[in-house]
Amino acid sequence: MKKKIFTVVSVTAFLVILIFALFIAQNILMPKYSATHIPDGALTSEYYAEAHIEHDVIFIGDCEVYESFVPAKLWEEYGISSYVRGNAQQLAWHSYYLLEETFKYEKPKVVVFNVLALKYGEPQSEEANRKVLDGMKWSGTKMDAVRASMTEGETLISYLFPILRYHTRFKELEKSDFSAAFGINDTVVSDSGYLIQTDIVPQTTPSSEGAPLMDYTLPKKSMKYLDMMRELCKRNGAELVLVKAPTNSFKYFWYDEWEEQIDEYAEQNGLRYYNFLECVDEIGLDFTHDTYDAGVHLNVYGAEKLTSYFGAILRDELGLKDTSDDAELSAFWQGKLEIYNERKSKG
Amino acid sequence: MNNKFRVICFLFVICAILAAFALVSCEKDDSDNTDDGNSQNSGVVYSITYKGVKLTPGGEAKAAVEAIDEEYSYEEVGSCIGDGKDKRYSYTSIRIETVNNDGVDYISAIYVLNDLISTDEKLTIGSPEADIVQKYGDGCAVQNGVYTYTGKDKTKLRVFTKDESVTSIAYLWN
Repeated sequence: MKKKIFTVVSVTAFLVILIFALFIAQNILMPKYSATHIPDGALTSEYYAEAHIEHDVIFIGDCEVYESFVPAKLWEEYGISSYVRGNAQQLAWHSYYLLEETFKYEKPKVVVFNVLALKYGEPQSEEANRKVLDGMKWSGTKMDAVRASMTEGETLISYLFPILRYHTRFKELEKSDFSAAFGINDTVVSDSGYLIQTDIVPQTTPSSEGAPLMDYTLPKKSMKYLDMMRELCKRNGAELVLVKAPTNSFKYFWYDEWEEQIDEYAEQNGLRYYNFLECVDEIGLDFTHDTYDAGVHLNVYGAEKLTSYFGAILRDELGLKDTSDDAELSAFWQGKLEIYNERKSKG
Repeated sequence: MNNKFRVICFLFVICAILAAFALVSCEKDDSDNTDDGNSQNSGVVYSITYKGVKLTPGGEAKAAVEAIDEEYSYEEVGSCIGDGKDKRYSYTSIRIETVNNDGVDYISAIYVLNDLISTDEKLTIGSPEADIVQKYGDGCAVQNGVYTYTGKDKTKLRVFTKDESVTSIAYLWN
């Protein structure tokens, strides 16, 4: 009997230690998304710290979202509470599942989706998948998101247990991997999902033409997820608004043929669609100053102009109210605004 | 002692299973998956000569751009994912686009912009659609009026047509 008890205790103790050791090892080995290391990989996970805040607007989409809309500015000018759930190369299905998850935490009045990612009909890269999905909390939604997103060669189990994917990183571990694994120096990289860029790299030659494509029809798969997002918003009482950021470059070109399809889709489904490429002057954008990478994305100066412009639309056309008289919300945003302004002044 | 041995064996098996899991998950399929599937793989490397300079998709861009004796307009953009910048050089009649791999710019695409030049096989923008097969053969995939020829070294020739006439010609890499 004693021997049996000894065996059970030994095995249990070993398993507990093993699981704990693997958990610690996994934390150490996973890539650290921080202000200095791959900051855009931290965006998904940072949402949870603000999920308890009531957001009237959720911006969702790719880099054209997290580099274009500044929630702190939207609050400062219009008293509208918002969050950006965007990631680099966040594809339509990523956006759908992040939105599905968001609705589990809160009920925004408006969801703003940037349409550029609709051009992708297939998963593009593991790197993008990891940036979007590794930071998601575990749930059925995450499982579905992983299944929809995996590229060839990726496995569901490596998302369940990232140590299986990252164990070879032990060769490149740095001091920061160990400190971050235990939550030391764990800095927030975004301002409510907005990733600040203060550099100025002018766009010298505005892109007027994209490369010819074999087929200009937006892929069925991405359009299916747009349909699903529309239905999801409808079920949750949110208005889905489509936007196209005001940036255009030969690599990420927005074709007239795509514009026609989105126009038609919006009209058929009673959605508002704002293509900001058509109102660059009205917004006051100057691409010799308002971009940090020669016209692919807006820098903070451009993003503030666009946010200011779109805030008026949210207020005047979508009827969003100034909620700055809510003391709790106001106190929260005042703190966020101070952090944002400090980050902006540091450059 | 016997029980201790069994416990040690059990723990060893668990460790072995975990290690096996880790190794299996590392295995990645590195097979080349870049072909269209439909097109024929010929022995040709598709390329075009412009101002006496032979331009080949996949070739190093710097030497080619420096060799062309003509002014160009220039754009460069970063990537949302990954490092390096993509560049675009626009000349009077062609446009060269590049991708950066490990610090070296390679020609990713060459586009013929107008009918002032012809391909080395004398196909021009505005040529009849029938000329495509006549000059390049029928070993191509055709989709939405776009003819795609897949050649050696991951080169491709893509000819776009509308109303039975050539509207655009592209040389691509990958």
